[in-house]
Amino acid sequence: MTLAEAFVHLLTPNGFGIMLVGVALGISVGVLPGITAGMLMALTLPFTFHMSSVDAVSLLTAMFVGGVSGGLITATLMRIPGEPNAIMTCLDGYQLARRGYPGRALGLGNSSSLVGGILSWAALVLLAPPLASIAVSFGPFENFAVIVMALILISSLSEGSFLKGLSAGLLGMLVSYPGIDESSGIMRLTFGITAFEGGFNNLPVILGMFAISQVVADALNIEGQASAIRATMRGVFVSVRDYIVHGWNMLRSSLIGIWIGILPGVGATVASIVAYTTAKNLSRKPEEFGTGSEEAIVAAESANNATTGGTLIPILTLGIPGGLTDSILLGALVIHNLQPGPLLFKNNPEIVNTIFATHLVAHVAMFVLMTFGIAVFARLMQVPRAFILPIVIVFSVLGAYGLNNRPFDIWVMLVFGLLGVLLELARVPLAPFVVGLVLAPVAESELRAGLMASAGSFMPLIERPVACSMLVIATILFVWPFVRVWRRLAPASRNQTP
Amino acid sequence: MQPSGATRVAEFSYVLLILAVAGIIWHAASALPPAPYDPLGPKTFPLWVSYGLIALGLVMLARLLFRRSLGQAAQSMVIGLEDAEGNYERRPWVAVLTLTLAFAYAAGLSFRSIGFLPATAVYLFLSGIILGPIERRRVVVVAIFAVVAAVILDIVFRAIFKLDLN
Repeated sequence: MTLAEAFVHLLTPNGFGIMLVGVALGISVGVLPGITAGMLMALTLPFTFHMSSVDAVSLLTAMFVGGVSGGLITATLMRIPGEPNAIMTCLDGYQLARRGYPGRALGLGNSSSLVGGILSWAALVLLAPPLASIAVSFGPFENFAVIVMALILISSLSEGSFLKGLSAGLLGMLVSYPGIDESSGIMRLTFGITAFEGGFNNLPVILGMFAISQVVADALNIEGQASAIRATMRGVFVSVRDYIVHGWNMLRSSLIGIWIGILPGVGATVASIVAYTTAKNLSRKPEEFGTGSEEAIVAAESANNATTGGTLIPILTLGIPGGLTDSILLGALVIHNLQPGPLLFKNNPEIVNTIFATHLVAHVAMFVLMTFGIAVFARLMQVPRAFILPIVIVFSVLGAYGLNNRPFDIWVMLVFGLLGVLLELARVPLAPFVVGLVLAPVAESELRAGLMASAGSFMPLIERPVACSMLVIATILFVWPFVRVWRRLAPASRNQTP
Repeated sequence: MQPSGATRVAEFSYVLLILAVAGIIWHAASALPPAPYDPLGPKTFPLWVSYGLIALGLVMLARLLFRRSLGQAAQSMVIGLEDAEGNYERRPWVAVLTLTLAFAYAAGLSFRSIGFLPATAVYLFLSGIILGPIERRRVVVVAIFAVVAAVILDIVFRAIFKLDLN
C-alpha cells in the first residue's frame, strides 16, 4: 500500500469511520474526568486484535492525535489539564475564557494545534524514510547499541531523576524475562509457578500501570470535580488575519515541538513549556503571559501537537519511543507482531503509510470535530466519575482476560496496577519502565544473535562505527548526570575550605 | 524541592522492592544452566540487569539514608496521585476500597461459578456507591446503571468480541 493508497483507504467508509472514532475518543478522554490518552490506548489494545493491523494502527494513531488535542478543552474551561501536555494552556486559556472569550481561546488553541500537526506531518514524511533507509543497514550489534542508548537517553534526558528513571527501565527489563527463553528453549525465572511459564504479557502490565493506577488516583481525588466555564461558539472560528498575526509564533513553536518530539523521552509537555517560555521571552508583551495571552495559547498548542509527528520518527525508524503515550503505541505495534524500526518500512510499508496518512487526516478531523463539536465535548466534563471509573476497571479486566482467556492475566494487571501506584507515589517515571519492558527481549535477542555470529566476541560493538558511536553516546549520557552533580558540589566544598 | 513524607515512604518502599526483586532474580538466574552454542545463555541478561538494579538500589538507599534527594519525575502520566489539584479533601480510603473491590471482582471472576454478569453488576453497584455520597435516590440510580451496564457489557463482549465469559 503506497501513501496515496493509504489516503484512499482513509476515505472508504470503514477506514474513515475507524479514524474518526479514534480521533473522537482521543478528544473525549482529554475531556472526560479520570481518563488519559495513554489509558485509552492501553484499554483499546485488546479490542484491536479483532481488526486488521492497518485498521488497528489507524485507530491508535488517530487516538494518539486526538488525545494530544483534547486536553485543550478542560485546560481552557476548567483550568485542569485533561492531558499533562495542556498544562501551559491552563495558564492563559482559562484566563482568556474567564474574561468572556472561551470560544476565542478554544478557536486559537484548535487552529494552532492544526498548524502544529500539519507541520509535524511534513517533518515525519520527509525525515522518516531517509532515516529508516540508513537504519536498515544496521546489524544486531547496532540494534543492541541503539536500544541501550535509548534506554539511557529516556532515563537521563527528561524525567528529573536519572537514578529513578534508569532503575525503572531495568525493572521493566526484568519483568520481561520470566518464561521460555526463545533462543535456547530453556524455562527461566518461573519459580515453579506454572502460570509464569507463559511469561508476563505486555498488555496486562501496561493496562495495570496506566489504567488501574489512574483509577486509584481519580478515586483519591473523587471530591475534586470542578465547575466549568460554559463553552460558546462565538470566536471559535479564527480568521486568516489571525493566522498571519500569529503565523511566526505558530511556525517557531511547531519547529520546537517537532524537534523536542524527536528526542526520546522528552515529549509534548516539555515541548509546550519550552515553546511557551520562548514565546514569552520574544514577545513584545511578556507581561500579558499568564493573564490570557493569545500568543501563549498559540505557542503551547502549536508545540504540543507538533510533537506528534516528531515523536513518531524515532518509533518508526529506530523502534524507540519518544515518551510515555508513544511507548504504548510502540507496545501496540509489537503486540500486533509488527517490529517497529527500519525493517517496518521494508516488511510492512502499508503500516508505515497508514500511520503517515492517518496522522495528517486525523489532525484535520480533530480540527473539524473540535470546532463544531465543542459544546458536545464540553458536556462530557460533567459525567460523574462514579460511573466512569468502575467501567474503566471492567474494560481493563476484560482487556487483560481477553488476551489469552486466562484469569492469571487479570491478577498480573492488578498487581502491576499496585506497582504503578507505588512508582507514581515515589515519583518514578513510568516511560522507562515500559521501554525496558518492550525493548528488553529485542536487545537480548539482538546481542545473542550477534555474539553467535562473531563466535562470542564483543569486539564488533567497538569495531563497528555506528554501534561504537551509540555506546559512546550512551556512556556520556550515563556519566553526565554524575558529572553535573560533581560540578555543582565542587565549588561548594572549595568555598568551605579555610 | 523537598519531597513530602508520603513520597519519602514511597521512595523507601520502591528502593527496597527493587533490591528484593533484583536479589531474587539474581539468585534464580544464577542457577540456570548454560545453553549450547550460545555464548550468553538464558541467564546472562537477567544477571546483568539484576547487578545493575542492585547497584542503583544501593546508591538510592544510601542517598535516602543520608536524607539526600533522589529527584523526581518531571512529568506524570497518572494525574493527581501525588498532589491535589484544587481546594478539596482527598479520600484515601475511597482509593483503597476501589482497589480492594477491583481485586474482589477479579477473584469473583476467577470463581467461574459466579459468572460474569452477576459479578459485574455487583461490582459496578458497590463501586458506584463508594465513589459518591450515600443517598437513597443515588443508590437507586447506581443500581439501575449497574444492571443495565452489566447486561450491555455481557452482550457486547460475548456476541461481538466472542469472549469466553463463563
